[in-house]
Amino acid sequence: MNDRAIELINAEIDGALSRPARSELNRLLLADPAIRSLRDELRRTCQALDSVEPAEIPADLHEAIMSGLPATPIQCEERVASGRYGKPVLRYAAAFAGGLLVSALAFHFAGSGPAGLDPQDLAGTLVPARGAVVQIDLPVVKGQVVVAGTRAGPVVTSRLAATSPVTVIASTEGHEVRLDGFVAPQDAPIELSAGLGKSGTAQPIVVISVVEAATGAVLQTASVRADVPD
Amino acid sequence: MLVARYEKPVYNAALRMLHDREDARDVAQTVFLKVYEHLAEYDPSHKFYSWIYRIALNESINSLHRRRPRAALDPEMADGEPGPDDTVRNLQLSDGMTAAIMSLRDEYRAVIVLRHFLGCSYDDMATILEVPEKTVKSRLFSARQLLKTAMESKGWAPG
Repeated sequence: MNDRAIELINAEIDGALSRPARSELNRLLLADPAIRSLRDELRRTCQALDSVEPAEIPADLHEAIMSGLPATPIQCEERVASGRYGKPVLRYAAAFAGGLLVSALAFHFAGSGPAGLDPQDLAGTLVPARGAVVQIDLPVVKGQVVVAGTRAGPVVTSRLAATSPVTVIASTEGHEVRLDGFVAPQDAPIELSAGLGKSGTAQPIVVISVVEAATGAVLQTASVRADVPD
Repeated sequence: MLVARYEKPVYNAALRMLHDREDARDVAQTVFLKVYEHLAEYDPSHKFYSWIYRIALNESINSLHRRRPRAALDPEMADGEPGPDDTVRNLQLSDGMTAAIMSLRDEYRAVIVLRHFLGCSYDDMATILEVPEKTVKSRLFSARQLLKTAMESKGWAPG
C-alpha cells in the first residue's frame, strides 16, 4: 500500500487535510480501488471507535480523589526572574490552602521581593513595598495581582482588564476574597485592593485563581508566599 | 475545581488503557495526588491538560506493567452500563472494539486513547507522549490499521 495514501487517508479522518492534499487523495482514490477500500475500512473503524461511549465515572470517585489529597498546604518552590523585567519564570509555586483544590496554573510569577519586579514600578497601583507579583496574560484577562505580606495578613491588589466576565479568588488558610464576574476594558483596567486577614503563619501561602464566570472553568491559578516584613 | 474538570477524562483514559474499573479508579486517584505533589514541576509553556493526561497515561502504563502477568483480556466485560437506546449490535461493537483496543501494544493504545477518547490533536499527543509529531502520526496510523485487522480477525466488519 502506498504510504502517502495511508497518510492522506488518516489526515482526512482527522480533519487535517489541506486543499492540495485533498486533491491528491482524490486522484489516488480514483486510480486505485484498493486505496478506496482501505479508506472506507479505516473510516468505519474510526467511526466505530468514536461511537464508543465514555464510561460513567464511579459515583464515589470524586470523593475518593478528594479524600486522597493532603489536607495541609504544601510548601511552594519559587524561582525568581533573573532580570528586572526578565522573561516570566516558567515554574510556579504550588500550594493549596483551606481546602481549595489543585487547579490549572499558568500565571507568570514575575518575582518576589527585591530580586523581582519592584511593585513600586506598577504605575497607578497602591501596592505595598514588598510583594509577589503574578502577571496574568490570558486571552480574556490581562494584568497583574500583587500579594504582599503585612502584619495584619496578606494584602491582595489586582489591576486587571477582562473582556468577558471572570472571577478572581484569593485565598489562604481560613480566608478568601473574591472579585466576582468583573469586566473591564483593556484601556481602563480596574484596580482593587483587599486584605485577606491575619494568618497563623508568618509566611502564608496565597492561592490566586482566575475563573471564567460563565462556566466556572479555572483559567489559571498561581500560589505565592506572602512574606511578612521584618 | 480541577478534579471536577478532569476526573472524567482521566478516569476514561485510564479505563481505556487498563480495561479494569478498579485499576482505572486507582490510577485516577494517583494522578490527582501526583498533580498535587508535583505542581511545582508543571511547565506552563505547555497546556495543563497535556501534563495531566501524560501523568494519566504513564500511571496507566505503570499499572499495566505491575499487573502484566494477569493481564488476560476479558472479552465479556463491557466498559459502561448500557443505556436504554443501546442495541445488541452496538454493545457487541463496543465490546469488540474494546477487545481490539486492548490487543494493541501500549504505545499504540495510548495514541488511540488520546485521539479518539480524549480528542487530542497531533500536536497535543506529541507533547503528551514526548515524541515528534511524525512519530505520533506513524503510531496512530499503524494503530488504526491494527485495530481494523483485529476487528476483522474477530469476525467484526465495520460498516
